[in-house]
Amino acid sequence: MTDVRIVEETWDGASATLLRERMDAEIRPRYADLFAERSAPPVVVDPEDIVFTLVAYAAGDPAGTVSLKRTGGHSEIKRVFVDPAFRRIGLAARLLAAAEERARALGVRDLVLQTGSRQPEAQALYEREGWAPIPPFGPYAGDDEVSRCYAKPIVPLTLGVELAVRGDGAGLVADVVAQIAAWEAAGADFAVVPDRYLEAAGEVAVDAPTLATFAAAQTSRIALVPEIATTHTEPFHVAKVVQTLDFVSRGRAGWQVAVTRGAQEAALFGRKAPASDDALWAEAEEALEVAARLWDSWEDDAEIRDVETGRFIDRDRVHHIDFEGRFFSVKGPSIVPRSPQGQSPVVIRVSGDGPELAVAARRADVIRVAADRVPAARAALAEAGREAVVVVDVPASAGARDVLSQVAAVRIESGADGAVVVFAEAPSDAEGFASAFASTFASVFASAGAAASTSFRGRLGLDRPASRYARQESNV
Amino acid sequence: MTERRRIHLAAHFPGVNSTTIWTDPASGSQIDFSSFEHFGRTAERGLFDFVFLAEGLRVREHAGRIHDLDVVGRPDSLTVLAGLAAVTRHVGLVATLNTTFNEPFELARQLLSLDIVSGGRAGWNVVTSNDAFTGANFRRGGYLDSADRYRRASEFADVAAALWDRAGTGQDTTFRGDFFDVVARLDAPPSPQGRPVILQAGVSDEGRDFAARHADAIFSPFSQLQPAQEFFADIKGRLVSYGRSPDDLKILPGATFTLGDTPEEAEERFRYERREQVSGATALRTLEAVWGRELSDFDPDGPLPPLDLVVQGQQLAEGRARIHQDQRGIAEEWHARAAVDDLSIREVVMAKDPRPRFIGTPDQVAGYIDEFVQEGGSDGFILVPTITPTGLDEFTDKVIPLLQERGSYPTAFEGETLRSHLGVPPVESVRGELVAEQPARRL
Repeated sequence: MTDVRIVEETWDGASATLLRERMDAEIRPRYADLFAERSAPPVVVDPEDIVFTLVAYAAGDPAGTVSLKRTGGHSEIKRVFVDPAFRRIGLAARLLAAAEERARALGVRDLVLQTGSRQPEAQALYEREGWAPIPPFGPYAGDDEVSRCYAKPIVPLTLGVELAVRGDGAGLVADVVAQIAAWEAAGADFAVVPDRYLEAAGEVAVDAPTLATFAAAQTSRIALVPEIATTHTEPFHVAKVVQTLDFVSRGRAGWQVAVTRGAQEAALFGRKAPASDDALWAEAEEALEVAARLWDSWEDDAEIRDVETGRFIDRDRVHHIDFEGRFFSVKGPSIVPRSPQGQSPVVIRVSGDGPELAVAARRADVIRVAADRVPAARAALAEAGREAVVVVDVPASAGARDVLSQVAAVRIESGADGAVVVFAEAPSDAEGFASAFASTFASVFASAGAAASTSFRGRLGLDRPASRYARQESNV
Repeated sequence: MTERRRIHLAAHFPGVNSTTIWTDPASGSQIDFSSFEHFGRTAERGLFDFVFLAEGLRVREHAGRIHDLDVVGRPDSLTVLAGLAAVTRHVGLVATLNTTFNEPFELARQLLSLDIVSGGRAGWNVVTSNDAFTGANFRRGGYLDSADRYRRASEFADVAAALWDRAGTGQDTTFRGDFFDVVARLDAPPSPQGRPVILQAGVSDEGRDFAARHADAIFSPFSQLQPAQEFFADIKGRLVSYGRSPDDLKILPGATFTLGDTPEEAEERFRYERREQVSGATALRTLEAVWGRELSDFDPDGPLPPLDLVVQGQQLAEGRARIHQDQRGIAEEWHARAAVDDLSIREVVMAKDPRPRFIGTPDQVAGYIDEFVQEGGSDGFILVPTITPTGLDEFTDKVIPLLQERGSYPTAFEGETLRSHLGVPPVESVRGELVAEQPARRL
């Protein structure tokens, strides 16, 4: 193995300049006809925009280089080159890894780059190294002929997947569990298990929390987020279901809160008539308040097992919640002790300008929106004085590579914190789909060391809160 | 030699009840999933037909404060069983679920879903409730008259059965009864065992009729041979009037057990268990529920309080399965018991072991169980150990092989589903018709 050293130099340094000249000499002839036609000079780099330049020396000789450049709001990897004498020893990959590490240390979250249509070897390199193709960005926008652009998140973005859970019945459960396992292997943070009670003719599904818990007992890292509606259900039951999922999954439970519209759905329960969206979400918000209180109703140290006094719990640390609202009253406490996460993350999917946006801003830990609604979600959060993870729904209607590209670019394109890949139907090759993501995301997680946290809260960057009922430390 | 009747055993997870001993050094978590996993795997190793979970929808209280002397805290039954389905392969999974504070579509769907993920191992112990204490956790509050509990439960079970029988067909079930007015269907695969298994626990006349009509098994309180035989004969007779065969319903009394290598060791262990189950504080609390007043000034190691302190009709204990009706009568009985052996408060309560119990060597206990079943006392037992979660291990390792040697216990799971373990076919699906013909009546 050749002795390789990678050092930071300046853009104008002798070695970097020499290597870029060699690069131009090698690459420019490939585009000579185009440049002649367009009679445009190549993009000139202002050294002021360069964040850093790395040079690799092999046995003392300048062998390769890479730079990071500020391009508008982007952090762009620029002028990646390895001298022909030092190729096929993995030097380009090492330079890219070094640049990623340096960029990460500087607080960069996403990298982009542009290469050319006539550099297939470069395209192959980037794809091998977990870069996802994106449409030409910034100064390259609109240049579909020559520019080939890529993006790579270098700190984890929040990656969820909404599973396809319906089928004709055969192998339904096993298929869903296999999808979840594949997405866990791909490094996804959470899997949403949707639920809507009624299916189209010929299709069947099962209860989401049951399926999510069944999968939880067979996985160890991915969070499970069943969709549970609040309209016709009992808040007390729902709260303990989520707590129990949190116990079974050892801290990987979430809850996607939904409302149930429609007369046909109302007739399933026969308890109340359909209501307006405003009323349904007002009720959902009450259910969320009840759940939050029930989840805190046992303090963490309520179970004392004090043999001396014969007391199993300290009953001063188990609390009635005494909720009285517009839609229901709940006395409490929960029958379930405080769960591993205390408060399991709440996910709300916001469509359009519905009343759920305000509820989500006040209550949700993860807000799901369409790509153009990220600013609206941020504005609603600002108004509510809260923070939440905002993720963009990416429909998995196209092939795996296309969806991967959209997800990899989601932070830089929409300003979201991540994405949820939404499968309306089970893909024919679910595991292939997930493994396409694995090359990008598993490597990001591994290099960022973020896979260490297995609780859903931890993955979202949330601390475990103390119970709201816990007595404050007194100063006595 | 006539063929021996096959014994059916089920394993009740020792959680929130006065049998569970939490002071023992071996006592583990009542809530961590690893405890359920351990218990479920042991039950499976012991070829138990099913794991059984009790339910309480409100944390118990005593004199207006949370009861703190027994184990408190349990998971949602169906949800934890869904987790257990993933880590076991054969053992049945039975949840106790209330018809008063659930809705038929939702519960039928959840049970069917558990049945599907477990490959046909789900069961439902149908219980009713009418107390406003529990109702305070729910939308309706305490809304149901005691007399209507079984009527609602019966309609509930009818709707659930109709929904299960049509699961996945796209056909609606329309039901307009006194308690439910629904148009529903389950767009889910059909049950792998025809229909989830139904258990029932009531022993009133209404309860017995409900069981004969709907249930596949009864969680019975009769563990003395003669009343058990009478109950057994009564229920099996009622089955016939619903067009069912006597074998179509299994009767399983609840019981606990205390094992020792010698009879003396078992007795010693029993005395230890009773002492741990009945602390001085527990003895006073138990007495307060009968006397209907606070008795914290009394010494648990002293004599019983006088009878004239009993406040008849004053319920201090809330959220328990057993509520004392005739407090004065019970107090008199306890005084009489105390007088015989000059017992203290704690000793009287210890002597009133509320749960039937097998005490002895593994061989003795195997004998008690086998003889009880062979003599027509029951089809088997639902056993609750005293220690969470390892209390079933010793029974599985020592008693099960002896039952197998006796030729009255299986040596392997022969089928895949809970119905096949229990040997109960799904109740004939005639109720689809009944349901459709229910006239529209509303309360």
